Amino acid sequence: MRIRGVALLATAALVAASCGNAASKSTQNTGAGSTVAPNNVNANLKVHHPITETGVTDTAIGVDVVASINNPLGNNYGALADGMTAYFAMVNAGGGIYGRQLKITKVRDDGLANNATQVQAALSQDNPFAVFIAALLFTGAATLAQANVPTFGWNINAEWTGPTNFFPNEAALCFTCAGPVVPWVAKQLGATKVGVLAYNVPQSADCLKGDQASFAKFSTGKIVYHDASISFGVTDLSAQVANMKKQGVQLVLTCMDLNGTFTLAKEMAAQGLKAVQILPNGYDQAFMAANGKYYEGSMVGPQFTAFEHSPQPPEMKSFEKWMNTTHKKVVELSMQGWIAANQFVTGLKLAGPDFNRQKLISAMNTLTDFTAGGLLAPIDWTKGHLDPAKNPEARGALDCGNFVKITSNKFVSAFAQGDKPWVCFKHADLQVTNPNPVPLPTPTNYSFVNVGSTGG
Amino acid sequence: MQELISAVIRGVPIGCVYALVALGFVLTYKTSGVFNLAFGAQAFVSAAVYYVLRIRHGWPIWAAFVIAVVLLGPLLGLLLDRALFRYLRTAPTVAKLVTSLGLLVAVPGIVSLLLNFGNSPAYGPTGIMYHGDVAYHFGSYALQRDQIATIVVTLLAAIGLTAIFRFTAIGLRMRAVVESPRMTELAGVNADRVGAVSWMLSSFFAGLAGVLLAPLFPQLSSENYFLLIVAAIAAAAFASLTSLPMAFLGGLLLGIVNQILTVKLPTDSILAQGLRPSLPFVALFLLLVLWPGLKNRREVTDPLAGVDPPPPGFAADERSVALTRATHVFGALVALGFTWWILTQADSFWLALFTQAVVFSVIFLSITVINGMAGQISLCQATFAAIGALATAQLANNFGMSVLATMVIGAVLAAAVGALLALPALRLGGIFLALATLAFALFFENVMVKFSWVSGGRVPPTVPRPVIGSINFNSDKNFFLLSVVVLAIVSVVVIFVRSGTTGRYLDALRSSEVAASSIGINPARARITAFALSAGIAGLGGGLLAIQEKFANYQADFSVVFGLFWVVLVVSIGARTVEGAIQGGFGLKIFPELILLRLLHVSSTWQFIVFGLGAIAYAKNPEGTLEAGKRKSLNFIQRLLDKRAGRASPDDQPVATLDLPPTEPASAVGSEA
Repeated sequence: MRIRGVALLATAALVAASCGNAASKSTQNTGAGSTVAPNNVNANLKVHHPITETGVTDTAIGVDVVASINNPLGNNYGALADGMTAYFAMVNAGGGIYGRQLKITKVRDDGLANNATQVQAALSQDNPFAVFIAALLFTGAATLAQANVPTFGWNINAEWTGPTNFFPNEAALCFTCAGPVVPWVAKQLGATKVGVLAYNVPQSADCLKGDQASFAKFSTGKIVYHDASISFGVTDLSAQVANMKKQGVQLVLTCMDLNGTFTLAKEMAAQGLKAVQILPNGYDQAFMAANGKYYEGSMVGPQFTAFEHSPQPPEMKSFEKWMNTTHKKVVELSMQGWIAANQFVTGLKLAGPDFNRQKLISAMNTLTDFTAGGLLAPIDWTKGHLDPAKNPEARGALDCGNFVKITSNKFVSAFAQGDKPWVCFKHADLQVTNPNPVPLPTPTNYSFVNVGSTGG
Repeated sequence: MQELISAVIRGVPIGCVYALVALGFVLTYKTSGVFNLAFGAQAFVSAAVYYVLRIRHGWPIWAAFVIAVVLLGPLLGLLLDRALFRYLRTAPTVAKLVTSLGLLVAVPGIVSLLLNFGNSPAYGPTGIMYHGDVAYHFGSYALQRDQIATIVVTLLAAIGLTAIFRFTAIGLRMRAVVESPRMTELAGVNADRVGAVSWMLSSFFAGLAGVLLAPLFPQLSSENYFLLIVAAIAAAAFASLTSLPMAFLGGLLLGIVNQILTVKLPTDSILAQGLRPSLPFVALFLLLVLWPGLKNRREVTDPLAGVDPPPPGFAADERSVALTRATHVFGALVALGFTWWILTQADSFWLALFTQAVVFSVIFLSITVINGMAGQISLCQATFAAIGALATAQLANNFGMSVLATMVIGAVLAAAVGALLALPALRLGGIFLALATLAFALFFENVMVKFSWVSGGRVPPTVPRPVIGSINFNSDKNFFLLSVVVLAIVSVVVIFVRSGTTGRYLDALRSSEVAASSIGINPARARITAFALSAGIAGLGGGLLAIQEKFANYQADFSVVFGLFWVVLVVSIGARTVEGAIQGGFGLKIFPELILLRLLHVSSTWQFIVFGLGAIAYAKNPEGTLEAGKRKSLNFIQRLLDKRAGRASPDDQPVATLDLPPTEPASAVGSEA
């Protein structure tokens, strides 16, 4: 779904979309088996209290979706609502929550640059209890933060960092932080010479800095070639590939969108550069079915437990069942919608039957291990709003990633151990304050299925 | 040296891509006089149909090619000529440019809707070669089949098209029709038919380029073509928009120089990060300013243009005093009614939307000044607005200055940049000035915006609302009133300037620069004043927008494409009057929300299509739809008044006649002759 929209417009958000899906995820709890189950999480969902709160009636709790759907870039994030619809259908089939049905009041299309307008329209005209966002440009962030509206959605924008009423599907992103996961992947692939290509935009340049910091810290390989002056919309990378071939690059990290990685992949094939690409995004089955031959052997690190890992976590089976029941398409964005809805329902449960916006927000901010039933590496919302670049403690307990490999135009599971697809490093082992380099610690595989509270 | 030779060789394939598009520009310009920014949209149409036939329906390459390129390409060209461009043969540059921009906006939206590309993305487009990604190796160089096809077609096109124009009668006629359809008709040539053939040829070429270049991308998207054509404009400028061999050479040079910079400049250097991505735009600007082929170049004008009547006056000037007073009273009542409704009845959403409409009206007054008064086309008004907005934000944040003061400083800064830009650019006229301003806008977007001290980096800088005494503009109602006051002040300034010395100088320059100079008018000074004033107003509006939104977000508000959209909107409504700018502001913010989304319940894709079609409608109303509407309603009212007074039929005594260049095809005259 996150096929790149090529344009001079919205460059920043698009590259954020590319780099925001970095393979390494910081999580805050020790993960394995550590579960925080606040008192209310098992509250009686049949209890019906009269509530006076925006978006809540005696029979329903209404939320709005603001997503970029129709725009000249072709980026359609509307499937976020599909996943939410499926999740709400599942909850409603079980009697709803606190005697109320969950419903999407309105799906608003912010087009390309109308997020602020549509967010304002949602708040003043639809009166939703919460708002869900999947936007190219999240310009309505300040409005939502100021109004203290519980906000969920897809974290590809820097604006998600900070406000304590924002609960995206991944804690605050850190573009520049040194992480162990990618150096570990390089080691697994036997790659010691690394190339990095980035656009000349801040997000992409920060992504390059992160890669440089990672290999400086955990020197499983050396970045022998990098170029951070590539223009957005590039259609020729022959010189870069020739240089990388000359340097003997075995692994290429791209801080670019799919158009850039596509140009790179074709050129690598033409020049015979046998290196593996780690794609920051591109977890799109339809895209790979059409273009996968150029990416043979490349790796992608989805934000959630990939569909291809087997055995699947029970939550994944529920997702597929209810997507099928509601006749919605299983794609990356619909899974993001499912996870966002799961997180919302988790918050409602924690808030209790006399919930309101503030109670939900406060309850969410006590969560230390949200995994959406094993679909995510744990998120700790007691720290997850902080910018990890400025607050190292916000990076939490684990650095995790899960991977798929592109083989014959399809994704296949990579680095999973049985039912444990997530490869994680304990943050305590990373010696973040020690001077570079430090030895790469040994990772552990996790499933996170039985970790944390879930709304499912 | 070996490295340099490698870079040159590697630059050829991408250079041919630029050359192919540049040839398309030059071909269209030579044969129609239109700098066709919709070339990419036309290319997208053929590529999209080719994709559907080839990938979705599994047609063989040749059959899909025949339908999508050989048949559809010329058919689209014929349609464009019949429906639009034959009305514009003698129209001013701005009319042609705006119409092509309208097509650029509308056509891809219509095609994507028809072919359902929104829900079912066009992944994996292929070219005209079987296994087009198979590479052949020549030493250490690799060329894919698709690249070879592009190189061969580009070379053949450069040779073939040059031969057509140099050695054939139809080539000569096509050039002649562009220069003066009326004079060509006097020589017995059917300009109408020749014009149609020209458009069919150029549209075929656009389709061919579209299909050839599709495999460059993983997904078929009109935006991909837009980026390519923007980069290739420099090659077309290198050819002065007229020489096909030079366009070919320009494209090649662009590709090669880019490769040399990639090899020679350290990838970490500021120079590499600034210059390489902006090479096409820097090259374009420098070419326009320094290239001998463009020095003091004015567009070719019709030798018979002197027989055209001057542009009509304002419809409002032809009203009776009583009717004018009645109109003013009615307008004031409507404005007061709206203001009352907004302040007392509207919710916070509509309040914010109407405030933005007012703010955009201020920005659009900058287009009134530069286009409506000075007759120049500037495609960088959004950039000037961005300068105002970003200066407002950065100065307020970093130096703790009063935000109203920073807004004024931002406006002054934008005015200074406008004046500086005008100095080298003003010797250019018409389309070349437009291109220079476009190059500046693209340079700003690709280089300056990347610096965090300019744009704030990953997170746009916030902007506080001002407080004056006891008036706190954090209140949206107060801010709405402040915006109305700013709009009123700027409107009065524009009206005074228009009716003052500078306005009259500009009027004189629009009619005849030589004559104006002969009576002592300094064209450069008058135009620099207009440019600076226009940029200053845009900067002021940009600052006001940043304060209203509480942040200065370049991507969301000021990108180059938005700037093009603004020009299309204001010019097609009417760039000569303050009302046109205000209607533009309200059209931009209120129309899509109220009419499209709430009344018609259509997707926001229709916003682009409707605005695009509006610009296309402009082809038949070159004075703008507002003036056309005013003239019609004036005639209607006057007819009613005459009827009541028992006067003669207005058919016999028209109140206002519109003497524009002929809207019927010139061939009608020719055939009678």
